[in-house]
Amino acid sequence: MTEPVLEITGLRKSYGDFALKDVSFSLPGGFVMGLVGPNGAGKTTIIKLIMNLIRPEAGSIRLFGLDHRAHEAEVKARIGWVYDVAPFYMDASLKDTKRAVSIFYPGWDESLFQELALQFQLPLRKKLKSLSQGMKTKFALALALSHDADLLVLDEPTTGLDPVVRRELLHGFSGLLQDEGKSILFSTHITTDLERIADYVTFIQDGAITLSASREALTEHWGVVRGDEECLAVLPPGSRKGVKRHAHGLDVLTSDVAGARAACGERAVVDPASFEDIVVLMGEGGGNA
Amino acid sequence: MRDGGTMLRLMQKDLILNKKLLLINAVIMLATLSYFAAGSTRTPPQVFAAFASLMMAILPATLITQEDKFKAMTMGCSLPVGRKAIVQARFALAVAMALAGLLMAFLLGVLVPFSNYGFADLFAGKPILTALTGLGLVLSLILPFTLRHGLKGLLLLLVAFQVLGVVLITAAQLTRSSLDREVIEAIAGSVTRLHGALGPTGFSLFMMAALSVLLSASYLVSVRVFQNREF
Repeated sequence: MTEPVLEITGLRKSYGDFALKDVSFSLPGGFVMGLVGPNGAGKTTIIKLIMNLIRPEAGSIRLFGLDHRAHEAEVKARIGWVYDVAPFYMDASLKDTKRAVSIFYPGWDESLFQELALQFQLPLRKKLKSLSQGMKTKFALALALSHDADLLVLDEPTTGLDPVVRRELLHGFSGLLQDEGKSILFSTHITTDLERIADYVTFIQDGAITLSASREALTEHWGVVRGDEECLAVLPPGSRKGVKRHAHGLDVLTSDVAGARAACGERAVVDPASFEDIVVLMGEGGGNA
Repeated sequence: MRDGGTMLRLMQKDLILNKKLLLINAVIMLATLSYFAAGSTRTPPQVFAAFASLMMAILPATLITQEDKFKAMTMGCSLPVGRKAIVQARFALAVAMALAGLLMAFLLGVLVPFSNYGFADLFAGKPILTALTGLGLVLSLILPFTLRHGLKGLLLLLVAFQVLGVVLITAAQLTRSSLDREVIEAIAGSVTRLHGALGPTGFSLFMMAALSVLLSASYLVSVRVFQNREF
C-alpha cells in the first residue's frame, strides 16, 4: 500500500446536538475514497475540518504527511476542492473568478482549464448567478482539476449534474487516477457513483465512522442474507451489521459471507452487498441484529 | 509562495472580484464629497477632511458585504494561504483603498467647479492629520469586528456606539448633569492641551505614532479572532 495522502485520527467536533465522534481513517495515495452516509451524518463537517474551515476539538489531520494547520498553505496548494454549495462571488463572471483563483496555484494549467471549460460548455463571460447548480459544480470542478492537485476533496460533486455529465465526470476521475496517480476523497449519498470509482469506502452515521474498508474487502466479505428469523438466530453475532424486516422475511447485512452461507445453508440466499445495501442496512442498525 | 506575494495575490483577488461594486461606490462617495466641497456653505477644511475620511474608511466594507452575501470567505480560506495572510491582505487593501480614495476626494475637493477650497486649504497639515486620524480610528475599529463577524460585525459596532450614546445621554439626564457634553469636552480639551505641549510638529508625530500603535493592535486582535472563525 502507498503512503497515505490523508490521515485522520481521533477527530472530534460538536455543534449543538450533533457530534463527530473520534473519527479516524486514512486514504492511500493514488486511490479514490468514497465518504458516504445520510444527510447530517457528518460528511461535510469532515471535509470542512480537512480544509481548516472549522477547528477540531480533538484529533489530528495530516495531509501528505504534514499537519494541516501548521502547513496550511503548503498542503492546500496540492488540494483541489469542490463543495456542495459553490462559495464564489455570484456577481462575478466565470472568467474573473477563474483569474482570481488561478493566481494562487503555481501549477495552474490554463490550457487544461480551457479544455475542461469547452467540455463542460461553461459560458466564461457569464456571471455565476446565471448558472444552474449543475453548471456551478462543473465550473468548480474545472477549477479543481486545473492546478495539478495531488488530492481532490469533493463534497457531493455530482449533486445537480445530469446522468450523462455525471458518468463523464466519473470516467474522468478514473482517467486521472490511472494516468497521474492522484487521490480523491469524494463524499456522496449517491452510492452508484461509488460503485463506479471508489477503491475505498468510509461509511459515516450520526457522526461516527461505522465502516472504512477497501472495495475488495467489501466485495469479498460483505453480503446480504435474505432469509427468516431462524436464519438470523444462527448467524455469527459479530458478523451481523444490520437487519431489515419486511413482509416476506428479513435482510441481514453480514461482514462474513462465508460464515453466513455455512450457518444458513439452504434456508437463505446470500447475495453480494452493494454499497447501497450497506448504507441502507447499516442505517437499520446492527444493534437489534 | 512568499508572504508578500501571497498578500498581493489576495489583494488582487479581492479587486478582481469586487471591481465593479468598488468603482460604483467610490464614484458615489466622490460625487457626494464634490457636492459637499462646492456647496453654498463653506465648512472648515478639517470638517471636509473628517467627512471624507469617514466615507473612505467605510469603502472597504464593500468587500465584506459581498463576502457575506455569497459566503465567499469560504473560498478565500480554501485557497493555499494562511489565515494570517488573509488578515494582512485585508488590512493592506483597506488602508490602500481608503488612502487612494482620500487623495481623490481631496483632489476633487479642490478641482470641482465652484469649490470652496483651494489647494492650500485641503493639502495642509491640519486637514491631512484630521483625515488620517479619522481613517486610522475607523479602520482600527471596523476591521477586527468585520473579520470576525462579517457585515454583522459592522452592524454590531454601529449599534454599540448608538447604545453608548444613549447611555451617556440618559445618564446625563438622570443625574441632571451635562455628562455627555463633559465627556466630549474632556476629549477635546486633552487634544488641545497635548497640541499646546508638543507643538504642531510634535503633535502630528505623536498622532501618527498613536495611530500606528492603534492599527497594529487592531491587526493583532484581528489575526487572533480570524484564526478562530469558522465557515
